[in-house]
Amino acid sequence: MSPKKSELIAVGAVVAAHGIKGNLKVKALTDYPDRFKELDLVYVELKDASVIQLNINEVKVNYKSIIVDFKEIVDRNQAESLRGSLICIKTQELLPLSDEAFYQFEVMGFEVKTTNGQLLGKVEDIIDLAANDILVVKNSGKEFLIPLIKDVIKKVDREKKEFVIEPIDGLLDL
Amino acid sequence: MPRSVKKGPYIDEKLLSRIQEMNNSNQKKVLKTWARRSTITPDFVGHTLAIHNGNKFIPVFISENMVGHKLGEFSPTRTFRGHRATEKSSKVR
Repeated sequence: MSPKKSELIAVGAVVAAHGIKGNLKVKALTDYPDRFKELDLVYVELKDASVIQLNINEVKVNYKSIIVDFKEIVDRNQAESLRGSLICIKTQELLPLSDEAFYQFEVMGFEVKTTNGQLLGKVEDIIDLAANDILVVKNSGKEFLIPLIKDVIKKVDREKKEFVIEPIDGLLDL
Repeated sequence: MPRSVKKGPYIDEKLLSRIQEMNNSNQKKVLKTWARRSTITPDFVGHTLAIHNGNKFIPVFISENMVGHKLGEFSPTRTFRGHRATEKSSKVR
């Protein structure tokens, strides 16, 4: 039985077919592209939103992309039909993170409060930047950008589903 | 061609003076700036600057390994947002 879509996390997107033997070129949607080498069974979410199970035969991780050989895909035509689909794993298969880190999808909807109890809103998005990631917090049309830095983020409470922040002067007036 | 070494790095004068003022008074506050072409110098380290990206101000914490780069490099003008939950993680730095 295939799992529900909400239980699946995308780790790659099929970009193109590779060669004539049914290999696929995959763009990594994970911070750990090498994890593809350890996967055996994956769920592929097709463009029509249906989900199929595929077994991985071989994986080559290059600098820019990943070449995946599935047991069930044996020629280029079959590989072409998977272009644009997503390669997913179950949430239970996610790699464990350190205490300070969290998966971005986990914190969507978390409330953001200041240390004096003022509610700023809910996390709607996270922007990945080279310097520091940024929480996009929205509250009835108002938007706050909160940098994920130790000077500002005082506590990430996963049980209460909230971030406690101490805004630097001027941060909430941007 | 790179900028002449003789001239030294370009830094927006007004921004530099505001940062030096904060360094002297040991103050921490978010400075709004449009000076994307300014080079980051060691004076900037430890401050949070809100760098304009043409649309809004992006708060960026300046760390040591950003020295020598331009401010604009850390405030992208185009952002791609995916819609699906992916295995991307974030960390409080």
